[in-house]
Amino acid sequence: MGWLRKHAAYPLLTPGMAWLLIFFFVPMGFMFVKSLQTVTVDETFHQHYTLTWEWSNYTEAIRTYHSQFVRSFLYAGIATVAAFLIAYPLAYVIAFRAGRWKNLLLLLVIAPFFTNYLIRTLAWGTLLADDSIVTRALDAIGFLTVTDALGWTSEHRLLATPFAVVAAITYNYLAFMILPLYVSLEKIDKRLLEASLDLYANRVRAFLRVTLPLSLPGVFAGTLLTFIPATGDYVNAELLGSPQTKMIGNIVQSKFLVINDYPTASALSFTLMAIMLVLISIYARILGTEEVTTT
Amino acid sequence: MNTGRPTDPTALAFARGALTRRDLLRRAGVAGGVLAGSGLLAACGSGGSSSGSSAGGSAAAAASVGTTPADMAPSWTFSNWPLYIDTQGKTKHPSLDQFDKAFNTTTKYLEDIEDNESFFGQVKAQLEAGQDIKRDIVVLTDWMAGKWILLGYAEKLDKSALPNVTANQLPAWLGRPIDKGDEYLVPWQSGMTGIGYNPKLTGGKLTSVKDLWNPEFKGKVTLLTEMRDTLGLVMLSMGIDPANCTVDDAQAAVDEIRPQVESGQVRRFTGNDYAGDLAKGNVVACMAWSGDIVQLQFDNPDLEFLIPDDGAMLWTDNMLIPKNAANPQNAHAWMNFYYDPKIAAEVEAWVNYICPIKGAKEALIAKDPEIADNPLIFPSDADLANLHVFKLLTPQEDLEFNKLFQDLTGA
Repeated sequence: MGWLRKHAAYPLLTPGMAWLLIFFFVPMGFMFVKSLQTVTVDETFHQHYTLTWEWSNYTEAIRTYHSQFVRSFLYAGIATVAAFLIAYPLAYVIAFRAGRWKNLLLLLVIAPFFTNYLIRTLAWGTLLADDSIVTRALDAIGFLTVTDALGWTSEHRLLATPFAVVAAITYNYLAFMILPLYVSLEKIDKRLLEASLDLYANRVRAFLRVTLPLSLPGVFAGTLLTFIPATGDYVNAELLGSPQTKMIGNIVQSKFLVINDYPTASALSFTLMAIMLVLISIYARILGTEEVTTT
Repeated sequence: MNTGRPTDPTALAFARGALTRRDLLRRAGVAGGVLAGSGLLAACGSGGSSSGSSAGGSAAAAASVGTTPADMAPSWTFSNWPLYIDTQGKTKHPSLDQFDKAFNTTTKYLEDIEDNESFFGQVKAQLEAGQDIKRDIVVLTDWMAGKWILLGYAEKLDKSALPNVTANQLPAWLGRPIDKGDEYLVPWQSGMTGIGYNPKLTGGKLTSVKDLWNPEFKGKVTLLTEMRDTLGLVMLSMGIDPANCTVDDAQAAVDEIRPQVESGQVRRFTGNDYAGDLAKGNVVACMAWSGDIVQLQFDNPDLEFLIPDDGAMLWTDNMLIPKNAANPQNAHAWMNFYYDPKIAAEVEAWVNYICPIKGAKEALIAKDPEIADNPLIFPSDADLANLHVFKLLTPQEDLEFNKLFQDLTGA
């Protein structure tokens, strides 16, 4: 029994590790090698790759596409904050106030996922069309005048503007924010809240000192689950954006699939991963899971 | 000239609107965009007029003009793009049925080419190894067809088996840069790239690509992601012939477009999803493909297709016989059969692209005058004279042109 308990971890780990090894680390290795190759095309369109340790693939990629990198992190950052502001009150209400409606509300949260991602995004194209009700209503109340001035929209339209891209990213990843928040809020022991109220905390203080800290693991998970895929997203920028809203995902997509420039595409992907790792480790330090679980 | 780029599954999915033109939307339902699925049915209905009514008679006539080699194989395979042939019900193709009857063969018709580049990816290894790719005809767009010829992946045609092709191929399709001697390719269908616009929203007629730069249309103009179409049209407006252009010309065209992109004049670069934008009025004028506009006009007769005074682009999808195909005799027989104007007319009544076959218009005029008289399907000689083709780029040029263009589109 003791032996089994001690060694059970290995067989349990095997499927996951094998999966990661074959479908993640091995391709990553190939991609890394590719990112240092040079491609030449002969006169009959045959492509030839040679490993020349071309580190300039990286410097060149960053030099050429730094604005798309910055834009990706900016859009993903804004979308993550927006999603958090929308999701937290919602998750809170579902966890603490929904009573018997809880399951129905959760179902509604994931209901959009029954529709294909692409169709949802294309539907936004219809919602935000230049003379759609949404656009006209927002224009009538002066919203678009403000956003035009801020450079989020232009010519009193929503489609093909940064606003449309960020709003759609927020929408498309919202559930990834709501669900972890809900889980962390739901498992909070209500007696802790009662105790804090007994100890003369008012509701605001009880929230700030008890609920919020206890929900931090959910905040951490939710923000990462939103921010990481949002940074690499290219569908929203492709379908709802303009040439001025292209994100790094669009560049990678076009390098891989349109120009077939695999070395640059690989270098861009690795650069994105590297920046992401740095950002996430800083974030983990600030809002680290260790601290979260020990406080 | 068609988009034809390899795409990952997600990309492929959204490419139905954005990246590939050759799909359901393009042929059938561009009108309402993806969301108005009803447009698809409507367009199918309006396109699929009365073909295949006199199967017996046509077959007999065709058999008399086509060669009927005794050694026809009992079955053969024809790979084409989806919704690119006359269709009854879900799977019946009257023109192919007549062929099978006349030549006592069975045609295996595959609609498995959805994208030039990804189809090439599927069969590349076999072609490289000199194997039969189990297809006797494939339909490829100009630039990809040219690539196959250059790579030695196409069989030379036996002209003696193609009397109808020799007799009926319209002059505009002869001696194109990709196949100067017409030794490898037989045109299937073509399309024009010009300007699609709504005169009600532009406040009048347009005449030139330069009209797209009118500041009144700021943010209401789209160009195409297809490099040869966008650069070709702009080159024409600058007096450059795309059939003989250089990297410097491409640079000049990019320099002409760039300020329009940076100022926000150009809203987007699109695949055939411009159709939805044009239909909804998000866009008032855009670079467009003639076949899409034919479909859009069913729903919105206001829309117009302009062949600019400086000229428009012509692209063609071509039949070719892959290297080491097992049944070239059947392939030749079909190519010849299709070039019978009566058969071509039956296909044309359903497909609505440009027909490269002499006499098809006349054959169609009694049965379906609306289509026969549509200048976007049967352009006048004057229009045809104003259509231009893009040169066959060398691999080095291909790289440089694409790089210039991708930098322009922001991706």
